[in-house]
Amino acid sequence: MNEQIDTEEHLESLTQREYKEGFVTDIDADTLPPGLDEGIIHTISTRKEEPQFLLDWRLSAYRNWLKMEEPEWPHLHYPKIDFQEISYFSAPKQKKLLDSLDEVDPKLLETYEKLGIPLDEQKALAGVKVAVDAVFDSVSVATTFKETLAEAGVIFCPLSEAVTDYPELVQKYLGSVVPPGDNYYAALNSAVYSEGSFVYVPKGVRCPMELSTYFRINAMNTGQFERTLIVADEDSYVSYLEGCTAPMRDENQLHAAVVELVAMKGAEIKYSTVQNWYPGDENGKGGIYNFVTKRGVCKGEGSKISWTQVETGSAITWKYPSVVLEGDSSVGEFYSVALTGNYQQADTGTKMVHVGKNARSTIISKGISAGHGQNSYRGLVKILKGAENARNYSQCDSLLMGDKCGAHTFPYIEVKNPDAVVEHEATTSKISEDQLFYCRQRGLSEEDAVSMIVNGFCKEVFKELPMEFAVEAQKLLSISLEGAVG
Amino acid sequence: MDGSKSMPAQPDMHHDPQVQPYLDLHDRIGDELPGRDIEWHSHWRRGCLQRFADQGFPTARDENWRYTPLRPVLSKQFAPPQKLHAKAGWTAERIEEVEHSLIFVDGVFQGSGSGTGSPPGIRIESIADVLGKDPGYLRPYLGKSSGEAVHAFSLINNALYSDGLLIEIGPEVKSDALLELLFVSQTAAALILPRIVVISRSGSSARIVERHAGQPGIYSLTSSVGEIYLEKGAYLNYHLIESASDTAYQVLGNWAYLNADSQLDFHTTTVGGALVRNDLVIDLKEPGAECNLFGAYCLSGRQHVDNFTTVIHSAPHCNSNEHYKGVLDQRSRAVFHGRVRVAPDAQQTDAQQANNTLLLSSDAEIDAKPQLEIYADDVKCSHGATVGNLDEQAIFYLKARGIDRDSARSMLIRAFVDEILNMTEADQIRQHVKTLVDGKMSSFQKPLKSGAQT
Repeated sequence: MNEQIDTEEHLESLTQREYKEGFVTDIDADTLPPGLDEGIIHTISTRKEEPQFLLDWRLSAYRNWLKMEEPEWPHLHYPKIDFQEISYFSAPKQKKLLDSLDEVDPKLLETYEKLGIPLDEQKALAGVKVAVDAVFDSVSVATTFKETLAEAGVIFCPLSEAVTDYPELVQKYLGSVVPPGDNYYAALNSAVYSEGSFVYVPKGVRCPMELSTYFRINAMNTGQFERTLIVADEDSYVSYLEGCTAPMRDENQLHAAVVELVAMKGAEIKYSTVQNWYPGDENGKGGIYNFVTKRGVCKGEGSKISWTQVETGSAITWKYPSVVLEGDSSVGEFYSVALTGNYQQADTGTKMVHVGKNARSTIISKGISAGHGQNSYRGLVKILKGAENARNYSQCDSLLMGDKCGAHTFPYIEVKNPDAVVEHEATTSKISEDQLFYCRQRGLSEEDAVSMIVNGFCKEVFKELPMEFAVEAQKLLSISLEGAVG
Repeated sequence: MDGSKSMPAQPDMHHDPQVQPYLDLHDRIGDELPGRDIEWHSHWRRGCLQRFADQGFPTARDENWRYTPLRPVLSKQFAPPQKLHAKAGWTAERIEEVEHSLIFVDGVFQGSGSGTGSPPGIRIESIADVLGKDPGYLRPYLGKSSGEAVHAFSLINNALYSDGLLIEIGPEVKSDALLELLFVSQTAAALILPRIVVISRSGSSARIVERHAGQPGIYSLTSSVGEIYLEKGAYLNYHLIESASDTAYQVLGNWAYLNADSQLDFHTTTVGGALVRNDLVIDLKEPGAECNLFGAYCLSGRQHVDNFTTVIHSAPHCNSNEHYKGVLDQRSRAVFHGRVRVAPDAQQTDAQQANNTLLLSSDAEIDAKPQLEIYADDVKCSHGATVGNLDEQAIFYLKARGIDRDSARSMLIRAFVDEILNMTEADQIRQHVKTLVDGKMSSFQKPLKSGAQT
């Protein structure tokens, strides 16, 4: 009996995590007043010196958005968002265009230093080579290794730069995967998005290094609306990492991003996310509302898109990274670990839409609920009539730690082709006393035992992450779980 | 179709043309329905009618109906058959050795078919009679299902049912008798609203078969509501067999409430019907309750079957086990919705669920939506869903042993469905459902032989 109480106390201390990224950078920012109307969109577009087609595109998305309703179907509970109280643009003040990192405000560099993101190429050379595009509030502050990438022919730059330098590419692909009217938050994003990253990998090129974007919300009362567009041309390969943090604030901040991936014939895109937005405090106050639309299209034969996500942050997560398998023999993958502690809520999963023949998809989803957290997996596997020999395997497991949390699964399976083989399984359980006892008997402390069991539970997902991310993810998970022994 | 405009308008609002005919029907027959003088009963009926008028029929935007389009049903008009107490002009085949058969024609109770009266210890009485004799008796039971998965069809039944049966199994009565409820439809465009209340008193055990059959070629709409109450330690074996004609629309709802240590085994076999919706809601209300749900569906032509099941673990220490399997041929379509909800504090829950479907044709479709909603932590819950075609290796194995392809296929399909059918305890029922499935399978299209076959 005592042991039971012990366990629970332990559990509690483990879920109460500290959020070490919660600092605020004191920097002069140029922030638009809160509110949203066509005027604001004109202002954003003008500030970014955008061509007419983009302004028109934004405005039509905005008009669409006005007609749409906020989705209420997710298994999430939160007060209605007042979209007029949010500021839709915030940029750290800069005098002129930057030519090199030396000109970046040292405070910004310091911020990223604190976050462990090396923007200094020299330093990065010592370790693993990762090209970083750092986005601070609404603008990109620095992109590293541009030259090395240019040698390989890879374009990696802020989206606003791409609009100026490669308008034909942007116009062709922007909104081609997630149309501006796709859903409520995608429409909002299309209307007001301020920054993002653009990647183009030409035919036959294997991107020489990992590409990474690091998102940071700093200003108060702002929303962050970034947009990422990755195009991998025939037989190319790119691995892309995304990380995010925000200061600790009592208010809820909105993050509504859109990510679009296009993989041509034989191309492969690997997209990894470690999402660590501020999750709110132990009473559920504050935290980021993370409403994200991510979708990729396997356009050509033999193409592959793989999503890997580790979701430990955000007060509310609403995201379903999806793959449309248009090309024959294309492959879609989704690996996810979602952790909800305290009062966090997550409604996340994926969609695999089989259009082409012989396409395969795999879904591995691991949900961990602790404290008062509510964790839902929501997924769709759709096999269209012409999708011969489709193969899908889905597995969603939930781990419950504590009797106040919840774990839910809402899979949708729609099959219209008899050759399809579709399997779905889901389990929900807690760490059993037997497992814990076994580990403790062998001299492990309870905390280590839990950490080991949880890491084992997530192993299938972690092994999909690029090495340096896997280490970070494991660390993040053990910090997040500190005190959550069950 | 739009004759509703000439009808007197409802006082508060105008309704859509699909809803109006039912409101008009209520205006016409409302005064003749049983229980009109009983305050609680008429209050409940009024509430249901109002709720139906307010919400109308479900659309594709309704999450619980997203895979079941109602256009074919809603584009037709239905009315209760004019001739009440119509004699059976068409008879369904009998199940051998069924001791007690209660026959309903177009929803109207015809009395006991086999003429042997009630099995000992079991009270069988018309709901209208019970309401007349003892107005308060059914109050704790009738209409208590209005919580989960209630929709336009069950609301129509609530508001407009004209009679039904109370089946009450006395305390500690252990009945081996098979009690059959046979629903036969024979009038075109009939609106049939069967209503059953089953009360299994504490420590009792009983077996009930609910069977739907109909004259081929006529279309009708059945919306049934069954309310099942199992008291402490009661056991009930319930078998729902749907072999209605392929032109019948059937929305069959059963709501079960399980008290401590009771057990319900519920089998659903669907081979007939144009559009069938099986709503099954099980509430495990007290510790120790257990339910086992087995479903089999074999469809061809343009049949559409929607198995919509909900298991609610309200109390700790309850077990639920659910397994549905189906075979779809031609242009048929099946929907499986399996929701399991584990309430906060329903610790020590064991909930298992599985759904497997064989797709035999490129025009068939399955939509599966298993759901786990878990608010307690000390639970073991799982669900699995698979969709596929017959295993070519298994066919090859049989062919290598001299069995031709068609026989090999039939053998494998039968074996697939038999896993469910074999869970039926009563020999005569098992035999009956197997015969139904065999009959259905003979209507399946022969697959095209590929060039490699001889």
